[in-house]
Amino acid sequence: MSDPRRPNILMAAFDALSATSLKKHLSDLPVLADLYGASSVYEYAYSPNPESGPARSSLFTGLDPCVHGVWTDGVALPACEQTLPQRLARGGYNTWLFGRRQLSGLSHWTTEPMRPDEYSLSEWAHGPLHRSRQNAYLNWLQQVAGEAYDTIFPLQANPDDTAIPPEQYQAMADLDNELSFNHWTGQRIGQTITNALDDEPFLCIAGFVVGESMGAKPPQDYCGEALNLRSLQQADNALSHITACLAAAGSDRDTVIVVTAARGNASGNDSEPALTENQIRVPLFVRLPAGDRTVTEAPVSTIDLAPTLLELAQLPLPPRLQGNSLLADALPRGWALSRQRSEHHGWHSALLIENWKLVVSHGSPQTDSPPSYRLYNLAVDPHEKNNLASKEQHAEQLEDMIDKLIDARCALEDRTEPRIAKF
Amino acid sequence: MTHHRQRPNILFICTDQQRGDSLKCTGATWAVTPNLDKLASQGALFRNCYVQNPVCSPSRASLFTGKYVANHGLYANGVPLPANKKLFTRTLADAGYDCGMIGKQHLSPCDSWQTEPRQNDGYRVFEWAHGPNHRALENDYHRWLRKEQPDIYAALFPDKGANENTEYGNRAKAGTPVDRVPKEAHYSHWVAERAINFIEHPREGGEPFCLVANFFDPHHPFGAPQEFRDKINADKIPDPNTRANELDDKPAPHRAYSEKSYSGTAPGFQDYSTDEIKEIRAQYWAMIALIDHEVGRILNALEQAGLAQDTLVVFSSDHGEMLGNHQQLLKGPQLYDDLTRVPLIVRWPGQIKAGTKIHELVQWIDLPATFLDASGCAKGRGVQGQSLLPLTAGQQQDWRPWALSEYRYSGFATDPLIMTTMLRHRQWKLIVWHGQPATGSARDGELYNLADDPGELNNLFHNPEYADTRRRMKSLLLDVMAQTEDRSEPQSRPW
Repeated sequence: MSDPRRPNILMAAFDALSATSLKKHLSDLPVLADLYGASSVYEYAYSPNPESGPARSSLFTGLDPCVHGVWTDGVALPACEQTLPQRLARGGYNTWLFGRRQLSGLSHWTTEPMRPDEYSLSEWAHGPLHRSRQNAYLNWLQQVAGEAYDTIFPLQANPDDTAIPPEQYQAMADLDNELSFNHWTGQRIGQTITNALDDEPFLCIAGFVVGESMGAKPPQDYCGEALNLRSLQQADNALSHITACLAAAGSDRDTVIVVTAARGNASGNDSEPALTENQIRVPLFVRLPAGDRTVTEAPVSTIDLAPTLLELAQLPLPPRLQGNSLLADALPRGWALSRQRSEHHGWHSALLIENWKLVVSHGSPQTDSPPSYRLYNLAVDPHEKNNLASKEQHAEQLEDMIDKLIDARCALEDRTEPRIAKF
Repeated sequence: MTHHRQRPNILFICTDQQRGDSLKCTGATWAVTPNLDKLASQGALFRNCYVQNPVCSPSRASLFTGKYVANHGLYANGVPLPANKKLFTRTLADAGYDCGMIGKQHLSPCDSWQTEPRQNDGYRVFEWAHGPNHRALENDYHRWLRKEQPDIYAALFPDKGANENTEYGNRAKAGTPVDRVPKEAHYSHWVAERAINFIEHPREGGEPFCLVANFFDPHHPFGAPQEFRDKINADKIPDPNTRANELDDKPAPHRAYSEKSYSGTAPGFQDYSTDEIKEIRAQYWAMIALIDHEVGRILNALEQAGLAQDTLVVFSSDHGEMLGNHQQLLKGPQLYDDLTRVPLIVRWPGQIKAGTKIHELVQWIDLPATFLDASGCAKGRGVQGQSLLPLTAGQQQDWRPWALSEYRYSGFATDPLIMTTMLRHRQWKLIVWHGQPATGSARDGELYNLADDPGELNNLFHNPEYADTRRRMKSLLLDVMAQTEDRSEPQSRPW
């Protein structure tokens, strides 16, 4: 099997799953609970953007959205940016994708263009209701359960009508477990592991979907969740199948398993404040082949994952990378910056440092309309109920956080080009 | 601009390290700048033009790309401009302009006498010389001097025994020999000679030209031909702008930059006597007098060629010079107006009214947007500045009331690294000296009310009476930082 010094990497990348939601349901998720109990756990891991496109672009490049340029959904990751699978493929890894990728605009059932050197095997499916002709899951569903497929998707009368009616969400969510998107993902990964012939290690992306595409309703209250629990359990079952296949192939001790999500599971509700924990704090745990469980409470960012996996793959860190490897002996970064730049939801920036959180809703320097602030002490107020920003006794704390937010912005500017001379 | 006109030629004359207040028409009554003053009287004189970085390479990268320093990737001298960045000269060349660059460019490292590699720049003519003491074989000034003035060349740059120290110019306390040669052999004369040659080049297709003519003066070493030093009365130049104990109220690195320049690698203000500083200032304005003389020759050639009416002429500089003010010399992380405010003159007969004076805050990244606007080219994705033309026509109602300058260990590096950010908003100026998580340096700041204190002598940052203004300026900086991010990648789908 694979070289023990170069582990396989299995990365379960959920579409939308907040750290708190996963934790809340962990008792119903035996495999995820086992992994959580045996991993290096980063309790405060933040996505640099609450939208999927920018967040996934950061997850797969190790760059902040201000640097890779994907500032909102619908923007494609520029061709000049190298993704983690591209780097691992060039470094000798087999690279597989099953399920969601989302590094470009996908609305109106747009097929996601793939890069020829990114995945040696890709069975792409943005989600169960994304009716691109290239949706590998729907092609499979049509084959194995044609009747169910036809029931869910009656003949489309108008090709421009890509809106999904509520009953379609429901029908998809109600499908038998064995026909579900996440089940398909697990089956295809298991089969690929079992049939793998060559000695090269693999990077496998399991692009699970548990959010709105699975019929999850947008949250109705401040800490609500747009999460389909059944599909999360289906993902847990899929992971059960995958780990069994790894064990059968003798690879379970050679495989790093990462569980994370692009973003949290709250969106679409205009009454919810911007950049709540539910939107930007995501699960991040890494089960190392020979690692003890550790728990890190200091904030980290999902841009730290790409350098971590490159280091595990024993590949050199390219200069165009901003995250800090989580394996380093040094302390974790201890701060995270998350920014929303949405035409519909406005511009907001959040800084997490120690147990403090500052959220800025930006104003306009043109009209002198000032920004508004929310300041929370997450240690005593994890649900962000008590905004301290306007309280006089916290004025100094507020200004200190504003200073650090200015510095954090500065820290994430594009300075990836190496300095090669004095002048 | 909407009315009919021909595509103008673009003549961009750019000096190196020239302060915004160094012309007679911008307040230096002792300056000998008749040609530049005349140019200003024929067009628009901008009194508040800010560069986006106080040292050469990052500032010039902002000019050529139209992007803020946080976005173009050339954050420090010694960093090459990342390959995928588009220069405005490329856009103009693609639109049919005959483009050229003469002099210093500095979009790539030039230390160790490296030759600057060509970018995808669109130039037909590229006559490059990083500086008069830069001994790359491709130094076109040296090649010219060797042919035009072989004796001078041989005496200054012998094949053997010449100074091999590439920081020779930086470490010189006063002018080096090549700075003091007669004007006919001078770098600034060479720039003018080649610019005139470019202007006079026959263009039978009638295509417009864009020439970037980059002088090295009045960059230190502080030396000029005697003929021009003789034009300056040192007694008329005021003493450096400072006050007793000024450095006590400024962030700590200001003291280090007073003792030595360039992060300890070049002589500092404290290494000079009062008389030496006086002489440096006189030499600085002697260099400016030389520039003025040579600019006059270029403008005269333009007139003689019958092109003056059809040419947009812009005069500016990439950053300023401390020149002894605030007890400092040269440049670095300081973001005083001494370094960030530069001269800007824009002349376009028939389009810009003679004698126009503009007091709005404008930025150097507005220049490429202006060139592209004048040429009729689309501004292009990622060009972040705004055309100045509506402003010169009095048609701009809601001009941006702020200017941003960002230093990211852009000059000689220190440990820990120094990063500073300036926000000028209306009459107020905030300068942030960054700390964690950007850098291990101690966080500090400066706050000036330029309406009352244009010399930036009284730092109000720690004054409790101005705490509200300080916080308001920090909030504005957060908003400006958000506004200046690069969001030019197109959104091709709603999601």
